[in-house]
Amino acid sequence: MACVEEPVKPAVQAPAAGVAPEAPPPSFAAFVQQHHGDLIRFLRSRLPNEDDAQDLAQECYARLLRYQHDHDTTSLQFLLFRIARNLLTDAWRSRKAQHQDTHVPVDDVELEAPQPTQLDRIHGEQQINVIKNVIRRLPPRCQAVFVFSRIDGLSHNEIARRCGISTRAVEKHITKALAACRAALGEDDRP
Amino acid sequence: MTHHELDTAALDPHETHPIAAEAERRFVRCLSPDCSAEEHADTAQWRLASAAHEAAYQQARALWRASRALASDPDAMMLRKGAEAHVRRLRGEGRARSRRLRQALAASVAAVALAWGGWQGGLFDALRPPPVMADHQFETAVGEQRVAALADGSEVVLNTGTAVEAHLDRQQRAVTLHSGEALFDVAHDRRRPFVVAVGEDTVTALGTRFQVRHTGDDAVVTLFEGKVRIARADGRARDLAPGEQARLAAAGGIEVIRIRAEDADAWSRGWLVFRDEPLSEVVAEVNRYATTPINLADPALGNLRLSGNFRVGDSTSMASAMAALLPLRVTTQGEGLALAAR
Repeated sequence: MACVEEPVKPAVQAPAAGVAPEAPPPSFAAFVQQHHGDLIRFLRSRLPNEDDAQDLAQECYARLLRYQHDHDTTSLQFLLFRIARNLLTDAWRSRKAQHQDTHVPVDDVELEAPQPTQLDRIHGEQQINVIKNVIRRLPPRCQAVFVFSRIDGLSHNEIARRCGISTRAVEKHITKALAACRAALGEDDRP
Repeated sequence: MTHHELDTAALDPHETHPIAAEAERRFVRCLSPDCSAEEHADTAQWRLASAAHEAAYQQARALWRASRALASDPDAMMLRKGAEAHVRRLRGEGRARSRRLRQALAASVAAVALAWGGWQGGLFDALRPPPVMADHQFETAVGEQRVAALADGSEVVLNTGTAVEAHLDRQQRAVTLHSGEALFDVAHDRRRPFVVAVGEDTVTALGTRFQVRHTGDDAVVTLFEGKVRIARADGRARDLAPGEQARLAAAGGIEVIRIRAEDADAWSRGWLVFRDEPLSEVVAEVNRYATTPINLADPALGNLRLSGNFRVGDSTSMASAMAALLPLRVTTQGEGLALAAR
């Protein structure tokens, strides 16, 4: 799934679907708590917007979690920022690819070929057309929130201010819009 | 919009795809600047708990990233206009509602006051809602255009290479056009004048639609609706009527001409309109939007005259269009393009 090269091979495999995971030790949440501020600052200073920084922070945690059993806090901290750097390199690479062709394929961040194929391009265009049709049929407020987010690139807080609603309400509208897009796009992307 | 609305309640994802819905909720939450470390850790653990969770989360992410291509879609401006209009409508309703409430309150207070036998002046003013105060900064890169909303409900459309700053306080709505060109659709608020500063000059509006251009040393003010007052640093002032355009030259003075309003703000609809203009000016205008500038191989070509409507776009296709209309050919010149005689 990821083209990020993790610096260490996972010693513990992620549990398979349907298998109840071992309860992670409480120390993981404490570790995140301790480093979250630094990580966000680190990412924020290297990315154009808040959303991307938050999204990559979550990716870092999800990946880091696979290694938590084998590392002491110092190496975990090192690993956290190593993963962050790798993800940043990825994001930059995909942004560069994006500038060569504005109609990016869906899985741009997971893109392994340097250039999207013609098929990817067509797929990306079709997908955008479906998304556009979904947006036009959303209730007005939900539509406005999604447009401000995806077209104007505003943060949740900015959208909340502009629409005169709470940040939580903004999140609800975006979640609703994403669900509507997913429903319209069908099960194509599902394995 | 003629489409029927999606019944988002009917396709409630919690019924059919609970994992996908949960993944979307978590993903969107994680994008928020106020998402706590605890929530991040919890979502990371939720994702690790099953491959289905992770797959659903990655699908939400992929959809999110794919939808970013909307920003460069030809329909982006239209969708954005729709969203802005909706917000304005909401604000309008909000204002009407608070006005009704204010009137109702005022009536009951008046009744009490009359029964009491006294009347306090200024009571109505005290009942008005406090004006919205906010600071805004907007910028566009070369070739970029953007619609921005101010907290008072006014709208600013920024043209290419523009920087605008706004400070809304109790007394006034102070906007500074640092560079570039902006179209202002001003929300009516008689208590707070809307003042656009261009260098040392100002343009003051109440509720109106006008645009200000600040390129080089000169400023150009065009009024579409309502009324604005221009005040120059030297003390000269002039009111504009709709359809009038004032040029404020660096040397001083206010020179007013009548213009075709639909041409003057064509840029905000994605067009550049030229009517019998010298090529030198056309090229200068096109270059405002271009990261790859166009040059004239021979300055004398600048006297050729050109009319036409051009879609704002990349300079290569603009140069080709000019070469097709005039006896010119396009060549490359270093980083840029050159127009030479055929």
